Amino acid sequence: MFEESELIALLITLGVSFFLWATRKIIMNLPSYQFLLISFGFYLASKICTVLEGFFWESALNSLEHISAILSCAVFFWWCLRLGAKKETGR
Amino acid sequence: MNPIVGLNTVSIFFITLSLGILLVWKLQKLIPTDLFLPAVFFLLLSLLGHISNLLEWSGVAPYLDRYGDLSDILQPILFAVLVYTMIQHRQWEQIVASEAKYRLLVDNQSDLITKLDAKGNFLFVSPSYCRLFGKYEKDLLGRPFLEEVLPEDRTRIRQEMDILYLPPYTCRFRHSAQTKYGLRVLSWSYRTLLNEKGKALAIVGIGRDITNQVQAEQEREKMLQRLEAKNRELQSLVYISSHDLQSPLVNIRGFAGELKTTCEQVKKVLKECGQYERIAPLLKDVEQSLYFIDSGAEKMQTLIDGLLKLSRIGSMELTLQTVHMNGLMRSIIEGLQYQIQKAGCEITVDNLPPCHSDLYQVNQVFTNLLDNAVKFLDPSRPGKIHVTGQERNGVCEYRVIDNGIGIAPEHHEKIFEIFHRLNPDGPVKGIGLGLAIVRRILDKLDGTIRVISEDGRGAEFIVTLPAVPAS
Repeated sequence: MFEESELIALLITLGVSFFLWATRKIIMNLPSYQFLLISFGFYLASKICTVLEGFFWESALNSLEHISAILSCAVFFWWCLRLGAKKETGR
Repeated sequence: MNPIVGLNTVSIFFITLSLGILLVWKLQKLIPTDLFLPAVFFLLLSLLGHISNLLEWSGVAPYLDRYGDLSDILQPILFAVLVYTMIQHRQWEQIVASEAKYRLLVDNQSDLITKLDAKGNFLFVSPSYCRLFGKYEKDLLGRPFLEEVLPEDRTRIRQEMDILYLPPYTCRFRHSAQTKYGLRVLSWSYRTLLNEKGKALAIVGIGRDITNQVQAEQEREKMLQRLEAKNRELQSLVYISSHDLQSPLVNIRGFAGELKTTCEQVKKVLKECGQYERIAPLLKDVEQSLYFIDSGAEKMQTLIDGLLKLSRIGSMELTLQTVHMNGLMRSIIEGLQYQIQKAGCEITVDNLPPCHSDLYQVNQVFTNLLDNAVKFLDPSRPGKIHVTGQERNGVCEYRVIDNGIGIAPEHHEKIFEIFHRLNPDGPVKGIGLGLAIVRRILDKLDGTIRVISEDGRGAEFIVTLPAVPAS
């Protein structure tokens, strides 16, 4: 069974997803916005897996959750890298 | 080892790398603080969550689970904060860049830029304005624009600016102002900015120091007046002198005629007395001298007549009307019929467009041109003269083309000079005034004349005159 905190985290993440969707036109002006959104996408996936593992395929979904988290962190790192690099080129 | 522990370790590795790279960018001042801080908080929170997970799954500290839960809840919120901060920062950057761009334009502008409120007080003055008046921006802001206008111009400028509150909400004026560089003349173009309800919000204006231009205009005006006065003086001088020369000339010719008659009578008396043979050589000398006096006086009379004619062109009154060129050309040719027949030439005329000009003067122009064309035909070939014309862009262009003796290119301009003759000793008599009169008349009629010709290959005179207005 899923935990209460996991459900709250998922709902908040969904709320943030809505915020991102609503401001997509502005976000598209941000530097390397694609990587930021992909990172968030993986983060959202990990949250969904966390909740779903309480119902079925506990082990597989748990692994998927952590793999998504890794990918989210990796893409976020790449975005951080590009953030400075883009600025540097911009000079 | 538990696989979850391994996966969390990898995540922690990437988060640490992210933190590290952000720190490097920050130290290199490549990212601003307002972007750096939310990103770092987000990463730290993420790090906290993963470490909690790691410790929990490795069995070191299972009770840390609640920190992981807290991190899970706060992480998306911080992510949203991060994105929001970035958006704000981006917009601020764009505003700063835009302001820098326009500030650069305004600061380096030599024209004067001002913004006034609806009452005419300064809201903004460009650095160029401050420089010109030798004042600081803070001293001018809030002060009335009219304070910088010379007192004698203020009432007029106030009235001029009143129309800024009426459509089309623009006005242009110039005024004098006491500046750091002395008295200068400024030219302004003002426009009112309105709100949605049509109420005046502000007035923006661009000004320029036109002192040098105004001085140049005044100089030019003075010069023109002087030139006109000189021209009038010259015209009246020519007219008066040529007119006054007429009466002594008439006397000379008259008394020369008297002397000739007396000579004839003396000759008759001497013949009756049988003394003629003795005096004959003396009388021949007297007769020859009288002949030279008479022919010289006649030539002078022709020149004076020409000068009088030329001087009258400057003062003539024009009656502008539609001149039907086909009819006019027919009557000119009829008038020149004797010369045409004598020269044995053929004249052809195309359908000519009417022009807007003075009938009498246009008649004079084409009479002179055709007369010249007939006079200067080549005796070695049958003379042909063709007149054609067309209207183009509000201008009528007429061409008088002949197959006469032609004009060498170096004489193309000289032939329009007064008393200029190409061949003074040639068989054609004249004083070199015909084409000078033509040019004078065309100058007066806003027309032009030019010639295309080569020596021995005929000539083409191109005359332009204003076309009949469309209305």
